[in-house]
Amino acid sequence: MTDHHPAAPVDPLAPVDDGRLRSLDPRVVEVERLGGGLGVGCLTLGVGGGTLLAMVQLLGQPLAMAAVGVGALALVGAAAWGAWAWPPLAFRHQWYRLDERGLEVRRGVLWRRVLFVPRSRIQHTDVNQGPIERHYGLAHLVIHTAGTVSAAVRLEGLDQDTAVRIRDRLVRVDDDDAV
Amino acid sequence: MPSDVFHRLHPTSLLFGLASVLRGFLLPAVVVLVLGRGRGAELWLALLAVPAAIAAIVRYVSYSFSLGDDELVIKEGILHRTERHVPYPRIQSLDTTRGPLHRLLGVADLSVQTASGAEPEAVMRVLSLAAIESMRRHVFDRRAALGGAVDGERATATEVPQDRSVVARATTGELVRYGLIANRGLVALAAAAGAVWQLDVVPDEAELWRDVAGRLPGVELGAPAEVAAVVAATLVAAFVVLRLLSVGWALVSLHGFELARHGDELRTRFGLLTQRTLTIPRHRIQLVEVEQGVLHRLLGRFSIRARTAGAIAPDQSGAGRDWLHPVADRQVLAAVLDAAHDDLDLDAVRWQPVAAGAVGRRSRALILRSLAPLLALAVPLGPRVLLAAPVVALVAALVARRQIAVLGWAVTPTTVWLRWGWLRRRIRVVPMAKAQSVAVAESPFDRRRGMATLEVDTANAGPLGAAIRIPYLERALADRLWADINDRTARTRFRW
Repeated sequence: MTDHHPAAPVDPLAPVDDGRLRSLDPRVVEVERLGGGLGVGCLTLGVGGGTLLAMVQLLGQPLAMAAVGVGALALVGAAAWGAWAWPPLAFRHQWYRLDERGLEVRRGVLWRRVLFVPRSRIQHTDVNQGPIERHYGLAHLVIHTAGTVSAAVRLEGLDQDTAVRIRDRLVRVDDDDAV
Repeated sequence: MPSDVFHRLHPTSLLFGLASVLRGFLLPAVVVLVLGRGRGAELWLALLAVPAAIAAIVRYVSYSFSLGDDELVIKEGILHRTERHVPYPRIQSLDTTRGPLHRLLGVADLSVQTASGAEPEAVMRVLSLAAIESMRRHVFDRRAALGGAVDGERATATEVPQDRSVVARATTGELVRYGLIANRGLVALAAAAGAVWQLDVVPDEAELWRDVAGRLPGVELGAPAEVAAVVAATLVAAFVVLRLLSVGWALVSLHGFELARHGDELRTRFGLLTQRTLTIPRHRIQLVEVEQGVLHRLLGRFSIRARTAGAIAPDQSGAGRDWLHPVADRQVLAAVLDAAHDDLDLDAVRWQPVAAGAVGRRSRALILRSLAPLLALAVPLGPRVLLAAPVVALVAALVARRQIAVLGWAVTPTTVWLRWGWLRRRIRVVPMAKAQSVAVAESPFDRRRGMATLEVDTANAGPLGAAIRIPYLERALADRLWADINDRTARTRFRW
């Protein structure tokens, strides 16, 4: 299923809907790391505050204080390592494929999922950009269907241009949908 | 009804508006009167009621609607003016609700349902029955005219030349059975208990208990065996009373249940005090669910539901809009399925089993899940609790075996079926044309055993997630089915 890796990045100028399995844009790793870093920063603040309070409570018990300090450091360290190491791993396990039948999205490192949305089921598509994404020239695509679980399928880490091109290819020409 | 002419609601709407204001204030008023608290309380209440009543009057006066050529236009409000346009092709159904007052006055609440959103697009309280009929005719005529060129099926959904064929009826006997199965007695009881609690007229419970127990012949509190007997008797009595209440509830809320087919639409009609008619367009049925609990099986009955596009707000009484039939026997089940969609033949389904390793996996999972709470209980209650572990594990293993034995699936060229549940047996069927997306999911445990889960999603699949979730499939098989269903869904156009 998600066992093979495309040999090289696909030519960005090639048509998006050629039915080949494409990786995300590699810049998404930095975006994710940055986002993760922000999260770790907040966590550090919180843990730091909590540790300070605990230290104040435990003044005079050097062993307990050391334990709390070590524990806090370990927590923040683990979170930081996770924010650093996870994005490239997740990136290696994400692909998408667009052809005339529909869009296929593969995602997941441990819990893996391959999703297919037929063209005829796509209600509308959004191209969105968060502030960090905008800085890096990336965007994410949100595909809306009438489904319950697949009501909004996200495809993140796309180059801006690519995202717009994909959206253009997905716009339905024959709109007879009564709703 | 000519277009661009704006009509008012039926004059008795004012009455209904005021009645609902009164209802809103009834409980507080009773509480105030009974508790007799505060001198000015009644005055405050009256003061609060007056603006609400005025608002109801204003609402009535400012409400008007028109049936145009392409859409229904509703205007309401004086300070806050709203104008709502509902194009006819978007109108999924026009459903009516009639309480006893409605029946007396020959009017009904009309709710205009579209495919989007849980709430009806508009609720018109109240209109005369004649107005509703003429509105139905107009809307369906215009809908057919507007949508007729695209698909022939919709063009036949006109109201007038329709052959109405009754698919199924539920007799009183059937409803009694349903009442016994559904166990809604608690609902009725909870409502009553809530009311009593609010009014605070029940004396201190311990006294009450002593009083009751004292009246029972030869019972003296304190003797354990007698206490146990009293408790047991109370439980049995409670059980019987609840079942009786449930039967009563079923008889009242589902009275005269009838499922009829009008060309491309299914209509259900039911209710004794409040009569409801609900419309289920056949082509909007996303999935059909057949359910059989233990009591169902005892009585040889099935409950059949349909989920349609556009989220359905569950009815308060529990007799939800998605009923196709609450209590059907085998023959009626076949008739109902046939009426709901082409190619729904339960007897013709060739159920496939899941992968061979599923029993082992499920057993292990269930055993772990049932031993964990046992361990947690051992902390406060002591390690003796762990003696029950082998029994718990055995029961878990047996349940797992049963679950996997019942688990079955089938993929036909036009439908996907799933069967599951050891106590409460459920069957779901999704027409391939209604599938929104297909996915193959693989957890690390799946990966170790070479299995995967197939998920088929539809609109309004309900709280369980994807409409159909087939676990423990061999991976190669899951991939093949996925590709298969992709092909079929990609080739079909989706129509609401």
